[in-house]
Amino acid sequence: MTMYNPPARIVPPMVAPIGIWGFIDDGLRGVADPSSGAWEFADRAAYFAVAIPTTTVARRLWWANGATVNASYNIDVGIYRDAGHKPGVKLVSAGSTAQGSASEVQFVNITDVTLAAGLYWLAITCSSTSATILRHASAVAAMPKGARFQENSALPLPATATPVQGTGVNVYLFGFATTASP
Amino acid sequence: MSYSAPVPVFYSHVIYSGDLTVTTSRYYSVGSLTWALADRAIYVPVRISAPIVVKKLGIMNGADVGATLDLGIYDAAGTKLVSTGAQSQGSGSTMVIFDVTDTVIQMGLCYFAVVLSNNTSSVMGYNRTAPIPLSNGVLTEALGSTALPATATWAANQTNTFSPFVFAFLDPTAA
Repeated sequence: MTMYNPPARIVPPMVAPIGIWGFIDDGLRGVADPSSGAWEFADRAAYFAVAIPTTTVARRLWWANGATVNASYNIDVGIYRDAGHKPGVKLVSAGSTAQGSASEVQFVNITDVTLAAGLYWLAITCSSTSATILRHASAVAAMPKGARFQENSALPLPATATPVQGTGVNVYLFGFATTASP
Repeated sequence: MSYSAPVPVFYSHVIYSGDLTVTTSRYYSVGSLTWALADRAIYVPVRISAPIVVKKLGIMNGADVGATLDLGIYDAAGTKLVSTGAQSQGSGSTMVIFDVTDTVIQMGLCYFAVVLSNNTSSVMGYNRTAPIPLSNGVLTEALGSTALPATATWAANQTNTFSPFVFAFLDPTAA
């Protein structure tokens, strides 16, 4: 479609690294939809930048489960403040949560967190490389390197991130919801 | 990588419901999809960057037609702002456009909605792998009739694969 719909200072109901406020958007332009893929490294956190254009409230955290799940696999998702263009202090997280149903968006309610306009980092970590999440796997390692940081031994998500630039190529489908339901 | 800086807002003559659903993989191909369930409404989130006056609503038919449909716009709280009422789907593989009461839609998030009366007719949109539409904020409701309700009762549908295109026309001569 070629119709023009200008950028809006309006936050969508579901905010994710892949999408209009995520910095990963253009690098993945034209690729296929996210697909089910195994978690890259046990207990590794992956951090992705999102630009929030106006004050908004995060009411739930979520991620999209892949085809293979198990309640013994644990996932944590969170939001971090920016600290000089890296993830810094954690604002909120789901806590280590058992993976639910396959091929579903899994929501976790949180205490509402107000986010002023600015740069934030969405974080996700998982306990097992047998667990699957919907994700883009870039064929070009340099591309996501410009948009993500990572941290090992990070389940549950730490209070303060210690990010490093790694070799991970996955961009996961997860984030926060500005709505409380459904 | 890119940053979409704020720009002055100038709409042309039409806004469509691919605003947010397209962005998971921009330029994802458009397809025709047979409606999955009779009288299921699908609500697609759309950002409105400046107040507009909607004068017509439209949809792109697929090859298979014969349904009765209703198109509408809801605010972010689920209150219906305007709808076409029950209409014949019209001809296959064409865009059909219906007059509505001129309605101001304020800046903010809203939902473009459509319901079809059967599960044999098709309309155009993005057909994705579930649950990607839900991850884009697309919601559904089993209505039990082909009339969009005054207040939506949204459901997070984990198996819905479809994000239909609904078009809001600002030009009263669109046909």
